[in-house]
Amino acid sequence: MKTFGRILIILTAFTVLGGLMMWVGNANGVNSPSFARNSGEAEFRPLQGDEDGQEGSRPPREVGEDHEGREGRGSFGGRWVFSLIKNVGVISVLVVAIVLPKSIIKKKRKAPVSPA
Amino acid sequence: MANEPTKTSTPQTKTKLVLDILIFIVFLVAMDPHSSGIAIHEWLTLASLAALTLHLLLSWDWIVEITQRFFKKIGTQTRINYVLNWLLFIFGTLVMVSGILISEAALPSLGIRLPQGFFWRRLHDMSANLVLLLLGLHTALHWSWIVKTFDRYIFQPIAAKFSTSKPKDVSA
Ligand code: HEM
Repeated sequence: MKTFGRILIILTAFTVLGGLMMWVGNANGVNSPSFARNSGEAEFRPLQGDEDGQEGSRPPREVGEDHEGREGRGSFGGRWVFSLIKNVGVISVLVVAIVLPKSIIKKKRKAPVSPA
Repeated sequence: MANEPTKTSTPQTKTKLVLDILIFIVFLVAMDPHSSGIAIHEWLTLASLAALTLHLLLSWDWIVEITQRFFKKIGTQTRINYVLNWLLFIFGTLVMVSGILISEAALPSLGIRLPQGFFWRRLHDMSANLVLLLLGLHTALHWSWIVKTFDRYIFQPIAAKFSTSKPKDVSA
């Protein structure tokens, strides 16, 4: 019961925060397909892509923008390795930048003070 | 978790470690939808909501304790850690929400079609990169816990398997 209540709190916080973000984003009209601030403005991009011609449908992907990786930017094999190295690299740099100075400071503090 | 005021039991620490490794792998896969394919990207990240909820549940005591003591006397690192965790929650929510709003596979398969806005696509990309940075900081602040727990539950058991001498006591 306690766990269920906690799950409810987490999901409520997620929903409220997410709802707030959607409200702020949409209230400013920035989600219009044309990215126009004023909803009365003309659509710069012709309607296309969707079978029912629904307004705001996603524009077709550019060449090399395939998410399935067949014709992706660069080869499929190399791409994920590059992405992995980049992302793990960013995290590693941050870890080293914080952990290293911290351990140096800690060691200095631990080192016996030389007599004056 | 670093700075954790309450001592967690050993089986819980093991669960945390496995869960955190899983979340980390899912995040790395999520950061490259071009390689995984958009359907895997969407379903995997939506499913990871359960793992993220469990991650928060396992740190619940820490969250409650620091929330209550935030404006009283707590260490600087704990305070930074707490603020960082909230930022991670806020921007993690933003990635999820913007992802749901630009969904091309999960929502359409449920019969839900939303207008595709460039704004949310840009925001999805930007917030994902921000979460990457925050995750780096989060990892750095918990580095000693990660090293200790890896050593206890992964490196020591492996070393014990290969060594002929008596295995080290890992219950401490
Ligand atoms: C941990 C959560 C998530 C992370 C870290 C993440 C990360 C990313 C990244 C890095 C991109 C590439 C953006 C680009 O190519 O410029 C992307 C694209 C995308 N994501 Fe996510 N995402 C997450 C959750 C979701 C969810 C829950 C959905 C939908 C249910 C989703 C739907 C999409 C879609 C449709 C795209 C393609 C957008 C485009 O073509 O511009 N994502 N995501």
